Amino acid sequence: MNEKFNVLNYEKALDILAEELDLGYPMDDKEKKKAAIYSFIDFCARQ
Amino acid sequence: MNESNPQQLEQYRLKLMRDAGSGNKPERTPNLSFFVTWKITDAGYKFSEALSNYDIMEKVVRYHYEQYQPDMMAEFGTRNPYMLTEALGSSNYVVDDEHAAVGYREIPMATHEQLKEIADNPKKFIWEKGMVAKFSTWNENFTIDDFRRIYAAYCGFGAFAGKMGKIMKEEYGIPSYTAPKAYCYLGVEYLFNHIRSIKGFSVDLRKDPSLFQAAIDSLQEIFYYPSLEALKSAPAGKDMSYCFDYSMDMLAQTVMSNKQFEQYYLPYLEKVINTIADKNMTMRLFIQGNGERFYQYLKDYPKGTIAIHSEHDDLLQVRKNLPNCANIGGLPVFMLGNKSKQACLDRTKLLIDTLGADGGLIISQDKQVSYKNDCKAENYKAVCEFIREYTPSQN
Repeated sequence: MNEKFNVLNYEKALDILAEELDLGYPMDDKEKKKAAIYSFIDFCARQ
Repeated sequence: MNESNPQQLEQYRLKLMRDAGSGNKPERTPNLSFFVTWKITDAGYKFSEALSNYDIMEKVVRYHYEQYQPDMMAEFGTRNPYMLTEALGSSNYVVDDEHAAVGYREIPMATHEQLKEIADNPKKFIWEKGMVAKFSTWNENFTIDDFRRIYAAYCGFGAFAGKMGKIMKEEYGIPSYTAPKAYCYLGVEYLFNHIRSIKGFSVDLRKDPSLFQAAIDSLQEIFYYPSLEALKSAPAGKDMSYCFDYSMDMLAQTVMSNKQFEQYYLPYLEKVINTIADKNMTMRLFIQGNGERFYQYLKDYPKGTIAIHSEHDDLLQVRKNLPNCANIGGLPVFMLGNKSKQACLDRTKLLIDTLGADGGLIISQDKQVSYKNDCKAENYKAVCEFIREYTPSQN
């Protein structure tokens, strides 16, 4: 993916991360992967 | 029961906790440790050492169990994911080794005016603005490698939590508290605890009630509704692998009138408790602040549905008003930290002889035991030994 990563753009950043980030376990479904990444950020936000 | 056999010990403790939590009479009253960061200095470490090193935190947690041997521990060194927030450039935690204290700096994610954005799209708001307000590194310069770095810190924290759960269960016979994700977070609690803080939340409630309602309704989508659906689809009945089937903490109600509580809090809370009751499950409900004015909402649930963990209320009064609920608590940190060993033992005996005589009592603390002065180690050690050895049949 060549699009410039800007973490402050929620939709695009999540889309790029769903392509680029290795969750450490298999996850082929992109929407589920996005949900897992969001869940991680939600955890951070609540700290 | 062979006390040197962790498996047998775990089953014994699970039965104690389940019997008491269901309002029944256990073989003896169980003891739930509600100690968090107090454990660090008690084990001889500085807060800064333990919070930034999982090997040290493991030693801290092991020390707590080996010294006091409670039947259950609410926390295995994971109360403060310090290394994760540090990786994000946070200054939320204020670690003060000199005074043996760790504080938490409240950083609201949003202003009152931004509630509309939360109502429109809470996930987008939290990602694009809430995270910016809380973490200094979350800005336009944040790279994918930065993201990988904080995700690695998150995985490290998760791995530590998993490791500690396994150690406590397999080496010490400490059962698991609840099943993973067996808790619910109401939108109103999310707004209060993480987005607006106490001052902003109080303003929001009065300034624009319809906007407040819209914001909490949207926030329910992040946590509350997925959790409720998971609860609804869980098998009915008590899962004897865990001490409780569900756990919830109540805090936002402390700044709400009963009318506001009935409008913004109760309808969502009731959906959870009704589901728990329908499924013949048992939940721990931690009511922070004064709980007395909320008893009216809990009095009609069947026995065995709710085990109330009280922060401020006298457990004898809770039992009198809510005989349908089991009780958790009874040993306030004020007593453990300031009274004599004999006074703590007298209090423990009184609790077991009265509330524990017919069951429905889990002895614990009124709040998370955090600071060195919250508790004298000799008081807690004496209390733990007493609970293990004393049974109502000796009355």
